[in-house]
Amino acid sequence: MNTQINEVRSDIGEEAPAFRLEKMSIAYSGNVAVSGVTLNIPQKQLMALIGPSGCGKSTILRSLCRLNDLIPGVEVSGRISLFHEDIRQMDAIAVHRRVGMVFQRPNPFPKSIYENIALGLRVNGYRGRIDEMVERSLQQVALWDEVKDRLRSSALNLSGGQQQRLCIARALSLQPEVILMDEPCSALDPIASLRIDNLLNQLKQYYTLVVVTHNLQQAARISDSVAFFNTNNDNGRIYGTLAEYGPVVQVFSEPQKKETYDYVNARSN
Amino acid sequence: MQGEELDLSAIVKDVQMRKSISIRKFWDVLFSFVALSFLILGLAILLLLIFQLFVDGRGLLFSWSFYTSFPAPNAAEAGILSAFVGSLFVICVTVLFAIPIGVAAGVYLEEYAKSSSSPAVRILTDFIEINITNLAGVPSIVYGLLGLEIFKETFKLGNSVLTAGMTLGILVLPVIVVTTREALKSVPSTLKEGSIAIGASKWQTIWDLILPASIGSILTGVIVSVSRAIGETAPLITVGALTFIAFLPPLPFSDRFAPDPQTGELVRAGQYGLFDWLFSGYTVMPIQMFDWVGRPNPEFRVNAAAAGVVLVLLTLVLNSAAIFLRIYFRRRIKW
Ligand SMILES: Nc1ncnc2c1ncn2[C@@H]1O[C@H](COP(=O)(O)OP(=O)(O)O)[C@@H](O)[C@H]1O
Ligand SMILES: [Mg+2]
Repeated sequence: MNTQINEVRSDIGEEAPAFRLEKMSIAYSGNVAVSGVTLNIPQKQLMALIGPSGCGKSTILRSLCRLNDLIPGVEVSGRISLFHEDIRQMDAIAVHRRVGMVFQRPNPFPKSIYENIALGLRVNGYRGRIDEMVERSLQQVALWDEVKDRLRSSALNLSGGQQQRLCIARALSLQPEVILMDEPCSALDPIASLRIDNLLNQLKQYYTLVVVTHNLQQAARISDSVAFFNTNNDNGRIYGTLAEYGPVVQVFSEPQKKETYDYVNARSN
Repeated sequence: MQGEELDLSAIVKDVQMRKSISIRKFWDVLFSFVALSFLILGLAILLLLIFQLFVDGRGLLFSWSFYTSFPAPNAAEAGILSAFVGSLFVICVTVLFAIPIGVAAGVYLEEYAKSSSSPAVRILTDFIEINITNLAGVPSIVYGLLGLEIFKETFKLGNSVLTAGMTLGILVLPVIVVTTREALKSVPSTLKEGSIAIGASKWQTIWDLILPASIGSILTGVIVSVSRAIGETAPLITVGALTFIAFLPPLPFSDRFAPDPQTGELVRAGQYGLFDWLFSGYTVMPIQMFDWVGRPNPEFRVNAAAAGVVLVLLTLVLNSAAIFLRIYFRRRIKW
């Protein structure tokens, strides 16, 4: 079992960041949702995105993997680069391959457990042995022992926590460089949610993880660094900005800004 | 968090609202009674009609020869063989023609055109959308004229199973397009996003996830529209269905007979090809009924009634299949 407490890493920004956002703004049909975000997301670490509802955390996450392309009228300005490549110059499918996404509500495909993982491998033209990959991915999320006897039964019969771990396994099986998670535990009970936390603590040794969470204890348990976003009200136009980001200890115990201090302390007492 | 600022007195005071509940309940009950009686009335009239058909046709319904005989000048010997087989062949063509086109059009409109970045495409889509719904309400005889013009005059397909099947195909196309779109719409967007997120292309998402998830509803729509097409008479009269037919469309590779030039006797003259049945003349159940009803000899009314019962049963079987499919796919896929 891994330890619950993170060793503090102080190397933010020293290695090349996985994602580099420069003056990124996102608007839905002309309404700005997020404005002027400049942020480096370090490799092989877990960055938590926190902030009040509506500050644009989901919007940012969806833009990082170009899922917002699906919504007409979304405009992203500024630059988002994945290992120095502008993701908007890249092929969208290549971005989806390299950047995995886990959603707030578990969304397994209405197919068998096996097929949930095999489908991703197949659509991407995976040449290796699919059976092995399915087993490996399920083992990585500690789901293998629970489901190995019913791989052919529907994934929709799993519990919420199992479904979410399956969705994480589905993302892992494609060996992405980054995995984005939008409140992955918000639909789960505390025990299932703790299992996911443990899992994330292990995964971050191999993957770059970006996790949106409303649960500050969770953020403290799992993250290496934290980015705090806040909503701004500019004459009735409400949009989110990045207030501050840094190592988890710094943001929680010595925040640079009062708004961060207020948000971080409002819930813990 | 701001509980102390809430005005709780408003909730306590409201006795008046509670009083109105009993009045609303009364209207609920009254309305459900009225609705139920209309439902029973409607069903009763329908059942009575079918029962009447059954009584009228009972003389022939239970005789095997009614199903194995061609139409004949003598009412007692006339059967529905050619009409029944003709209906099946025509519907086969309808299904094979309309499903691929209708489903593809629905998929295009719902999954591609709607999210197109070009405004011209989106305007065109809106225009098509309005018109497809209208097309579903166009009188069927108009489709008959269309089939006459396109398949018979332009493509010179003659009075054939192919012409009839495709004419009915155009008739059911709008309904299939609309049901396909509705079925696709009901697939949750989280499923699409999950698929895009694993690097699937749009087409892979549609083929591997969206279509399997919506196939039950699509098939239901197809079957319901096809079972309506089986009863269509007007468009087929327009495109020239025959009324008195004493042969079946040739099955693929069955023996072909022709009169011997010397003796005039029928002798085997080779085999039919795979697609010859498409170009054969035909008649269908409702036209056969129409023909029998119109005859001066009242004995044929029995034949018409018996054929009517068969037609109703055929529709019933198809509709049950639709219900079965819906349940089957629902059980496999739940969100
Ligand atoms: N599909 C959308 N269309 C229009 N506006 C949207 C859409 N999704 C989110 N928004 C708006 O963007 C802002 C940020 O939303 P979101 O990213 O969901 O915030 P968070 O995840 O931090 O709660 C909100 O004001 C929301 O109304
Ligand atoms: Mg959100």
